[in-house]
Amino acid sequence: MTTPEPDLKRLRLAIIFLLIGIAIELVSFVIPRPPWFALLFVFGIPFMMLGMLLYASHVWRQLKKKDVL
Amino acid sequence: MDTTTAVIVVLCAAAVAIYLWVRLPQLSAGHFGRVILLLAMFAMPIGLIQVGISKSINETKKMEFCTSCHEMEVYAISLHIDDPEYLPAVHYQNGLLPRETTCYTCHTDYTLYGDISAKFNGLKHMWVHFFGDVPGPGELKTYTAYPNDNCLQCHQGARRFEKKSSHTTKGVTLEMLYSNQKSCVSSGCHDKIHDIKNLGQKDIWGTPEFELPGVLKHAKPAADDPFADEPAGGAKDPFGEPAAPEGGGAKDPFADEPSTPDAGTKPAGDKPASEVQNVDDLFDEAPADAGKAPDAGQGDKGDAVVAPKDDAGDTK
Repeated sequence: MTTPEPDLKRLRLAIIFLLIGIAIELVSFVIPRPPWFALLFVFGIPFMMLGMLLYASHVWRQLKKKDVL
Repeated sequence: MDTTTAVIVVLCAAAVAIYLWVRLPQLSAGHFGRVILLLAMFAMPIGLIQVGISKSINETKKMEFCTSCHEMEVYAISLHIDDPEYLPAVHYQNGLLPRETTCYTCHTDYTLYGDISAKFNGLKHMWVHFFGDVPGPGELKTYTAYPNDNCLQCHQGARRFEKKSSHTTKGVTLEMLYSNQKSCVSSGCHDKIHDIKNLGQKDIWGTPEFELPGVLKHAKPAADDPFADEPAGGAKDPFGEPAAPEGGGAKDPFADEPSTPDAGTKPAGDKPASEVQNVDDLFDEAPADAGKAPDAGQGDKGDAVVAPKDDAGDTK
């Protein structure tokens, strides 16, 4: 098994953030109580957005690396 | 989107994210895989965020959500007060509000940003619930005087509202009500709100979802309550249990009750509970008609241009 490239590590981190956000969202739907909705807005949604940003930065770096930009 | 659909959507998204984790090297190497990555890592979270926000906004409108904090349970019980003069109770019991979103309907300012400000207030409530000192039953106050707009979102322009004599006489005009110069919940008008402190003395209609806290079960009637609800005959049960009628058998909250003969505490034409289920009867017989309408020149608390917090608060 090969070690992931540094860029893939960044992508894996993005997936982890996405999964955390999804998990919080799922719990808040199943248990619609104030603490879970607070967690969704404080952690869940920001984590998903962070994952998107990490993915965007990964794409940006790949494009830069290939001298496309 | 209902809860089941939302849960299925989120579960599918979780499956996609796990698939990405497992197949990441292959996906990032191929052209098609990169398209999947783009959709899964950029488009999918946008959809999930949208679903999360809309779903949470809808869920937090529900009464079930509001009463999930124990300090709100007494307010749900107060919706079952068996007295047509109590504003939230009569609206709730007669289906004048959506049952599922009763709290939200009356406690969301009727403005462009009313929903947003309600959500921020909800966050403040949650902060106090977890990190602050929660006031005791009956001690909660609204942040601001109750705005007439919240009533007028339904009543404005309504024929019965505009034709009602107490809305246009004794120092009150429709313009004052529409411009919030005179609060609907001023003393002497519609001033019987949740009345948590005296909840233990009230007859209860139906079966509330929650049990009255012990501290309220043993509460004495408030001395300054001029509207203390006394039954027509016999002693009132201090624990709020409906007194059995003399003829025996369980008391039916819909059973005809004689009108309280005391015109000073009840409207002259007060109706039995069964008749008040007709909404027309209810609004035709308001306390203000019994000579309790505020006099603009007297300077008592009913004359406040905008009701002071105690008048406007819901927890009198």
